[in-house]
Formats: sequence, C-alpha cells, structure tokens
Amino acid sequence: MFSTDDPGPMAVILDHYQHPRNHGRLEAPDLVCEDVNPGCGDRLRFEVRFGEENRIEAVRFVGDGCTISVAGASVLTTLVAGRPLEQAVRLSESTLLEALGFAASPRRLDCALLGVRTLRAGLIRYYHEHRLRDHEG
Amino acid sequence: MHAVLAHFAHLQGDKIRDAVLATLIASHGGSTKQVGAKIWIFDGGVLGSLTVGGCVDARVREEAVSVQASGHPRQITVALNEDDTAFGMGCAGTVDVLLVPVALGPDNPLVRALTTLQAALVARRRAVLVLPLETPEACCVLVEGKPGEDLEAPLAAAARRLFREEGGTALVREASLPTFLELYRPPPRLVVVGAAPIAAPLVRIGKQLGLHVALVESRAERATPAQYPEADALHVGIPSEICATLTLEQDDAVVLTAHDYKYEVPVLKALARSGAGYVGMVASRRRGRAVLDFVEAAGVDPSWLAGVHTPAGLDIGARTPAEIALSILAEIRAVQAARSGGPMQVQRSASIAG
Repeated sequence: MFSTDDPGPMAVILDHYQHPRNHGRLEAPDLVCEDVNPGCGDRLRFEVRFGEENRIEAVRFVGDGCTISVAGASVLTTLVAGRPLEQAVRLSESTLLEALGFAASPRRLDCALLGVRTLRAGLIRYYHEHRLRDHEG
Repeated sequence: MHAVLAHFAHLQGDKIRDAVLATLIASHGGSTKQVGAKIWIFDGGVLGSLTVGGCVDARVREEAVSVQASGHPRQITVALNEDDTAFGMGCAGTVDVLLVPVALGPDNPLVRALTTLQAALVARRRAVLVLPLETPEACCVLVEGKPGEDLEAPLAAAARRLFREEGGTALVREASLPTFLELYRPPPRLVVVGAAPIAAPLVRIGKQLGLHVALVESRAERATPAQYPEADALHVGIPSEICATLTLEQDDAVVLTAHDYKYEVPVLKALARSGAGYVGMVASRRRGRAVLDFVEAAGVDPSWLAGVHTPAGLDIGARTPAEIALSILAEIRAVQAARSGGPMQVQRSASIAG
C-alpha cells in the first residue's frame, strides 16, 4: 500500500503523512473549524490560537484522511504558523500544492485542498465574528 | 435489549393489563435449558420461551391460567417428554419454573423492578434481579455502583458472586425466603466503522442478535436514521477520534467496514488502546497485511495487531454484503465464546442435548 523505497514526487506527501506536523489538539483554542470531503469521506479539524494582532500563535489539526489530505493539512500548518490572520487567509491553493510537491490530478485535487479550504473558511468566519464584535463594542 | 425486557416493553405498548411471568429457576439433567429464561403469558398470547424447543411452554401456559386466577405465585416442576426419552430422541431431565402473576401497572413491584433493570442497562450498568420465590412482590434490583437494598447475608454474598463472575444465576435456599438471583449485563457493543454496503446488514443482523449497535462515519448524509433504523447510535465525526472516546470492553466488537486505509490506519491506532475483545477489518489478505504492517511501523504493539481479524469473518463462502456480515458476526460470536467456529456436527456432537 505504501512504499517508501522510492518515494519520488510523493516524498513530501509520504513524509507528512507518516510524520504529520502540528498534529493534535490545543487547549482553549480561539478557533475550531472542521469539514469533510463529501465524496471520499476525508475529515479534518483545525484548532488555532491567536496571539498579538491576530497572529497565529499555534495551530494543530486532527483528522482521518488519505495520504494527500493529511499531508496537505500538515504542510498547511507549517505555512500558516506564525503568520497574521490576514496573510493566512490569503494563502493560495497553488502555494500549498507547490509546497506539497503535488502535481494534482483533478480527481485528487479535492483531497489536497481540503485542509486549506477548511482552514480558510474558519479564518474568514473568525475574522468576521471578531470585526462584528469590535463594531458592537 | 434482553428478551424479557423487550417483551415487557411490548406488553406495555399493547396496554396488556395482566400477565404471568414464568422463570426457569432450576434445571436437572439435559443441557439446553437455560436457567433464567423467561416467558410472558397473557390473555391472547405468549412472548418468549423457556426451552430451546419450547417443550415446557405448553405445560406452563396451562398452569399460568390458574396462577393468574389465584393471584398468587407458584412453583412447578416439569418433566421433559418422559415418554420419548426411551428412544433418546426426547429432551431429558426436569425443570423448576416460578410463575408470578403481574398486574402491569406502575405500582406492581415486579414492574418497578423491571423498569429499574431496564434503566440500569441503558446506562450500561450491570444489575442483579433479586426474586424471592414465595414473595416475589418483595423483589428488588441491585445496580452496580449504586447503594443497594439490605439483603440477608447469603443473598448479598450470592449477588456479589454474580457481579464478580460476570454472569449467571443463583438459587439461594439458605435465606429465610428462598430467592432466585440473576445478573443482567448491558448488551455487548458492536461498533461498525464506515457506512459501506456491509454496514447495513451488520447493523441489522447485529441488532437481531441483541447487540448494542453503533455506526461510525465521517459523513452525516451517509449515517442517517433512515438508512440505519436499527442502529442504537450513529456517530458522525472523525472516526478515529470517536473510537478513542468509546469505552469498549472485552465483550465488545469493532468491525472496520470502510475498506479504506484512511479510516483503518488511524482507527486501528486508536483501538490499540481500547479494551475491545474483537477487532475485525474487511480487506483482502494482501491489503489487510499492508495496513497492519503500516500501523505496526507507526509504533502500534505487534502483539495487539496479531489479534486483529483480517479478512474479518469465518470462511463460509460469503459473497454478498449480507453473507459477509453473517460470517463476521459468526466469527465475533465464536471469538467471544472462545469457540473455533467449526461445524457443530463434528466438534459438539457429544454435547448436543435434549
């Protein structure tokens, strides 16, 4: 099922699948976002804690998914950790795919991008909720 | 749900007012009489059976008529097909049966006891039904972990033994009132991971076998009550996370039906820390081996992985989802009963009893 003898272009994906970065839970996260790929059933959840000026102080993920979706989530966390919320939201899908080393077949693109789409939706929701609170305050 | 409680609920649903509850309290000779078996007799029908072949039931039904009319409990001894045993083809031995008239209202002590029993099992607590033979209106239920009734020393000791030995019945004659005690356990769990085609017959047949059946799936639209009306629980979320939160015991079984490593790898990692007595994975031998190898390389105890049943099921030539479900449930039963799962004809002929 998984051969690591000659990982080739799958090297990054297999590495992140077998050794996912930032995997686990956070205590008292500021943001929790979760989504599922309705086609294949991959499901990911991200937890984020923000620091000064909405900078992503810590990010963790858990989930059950294929090599590509888990690796995509793992790589994603390394790309957004430490960044301001506004920058993390703007992280492009092509940036993630490039970091993943993944020449996506259309069939697996949804797997690769499940993480970035889930986290982006969560960050946008958080952004709006907090801006709304600022206005109310 | 235990048969006696399912039948009890059925009687209440049908608004039956009066019934007789007969309990097989002792068996002498033969082996197919299950002590503790119960049958409800009421105007218009019966629910349950006291013996495998039902050969005692007719006599008990006759007796129930006069018990109900008298309003008093009665013990009877029934000889099993004495005339037929000469040829070795009839059931052998005798059974003792306690018949108790029950007015199915909230004030009846036995109704209260059965209600308490049912609540305990729903809360997944073990409980002992304490049934004095001569005064069944003095019955009570001891629920594990809750303060109990003040029982006479022999009864308390018998109850403790049942809890300790995790099963069975006791007929205590040393107490001032001879008493029958019976341990009830929550039904074993069957956890089906993945809403694959095999999942539906697994849930359906598992429920018929009296198991508490739960389905775990990541997609809500694939795990709806309409699709799995028999399921006791539908858990939607991250499967491995859900499995890690379930308190599984030796009698419980988990079957991975997803046929996809994305569930299998993380769920097996999660289950390695559980107490489930059976873990099965639907896979070909080649793919199952690859998944186990990968999980072992990830640090899971190889001795635990050696106990994972893959391909899951007994070799009965199963092809369809229902047949595969049947083979898996048969294997689960065999594992839990510490049996080989081979044919009765060869291995159990000496003890097939009448």
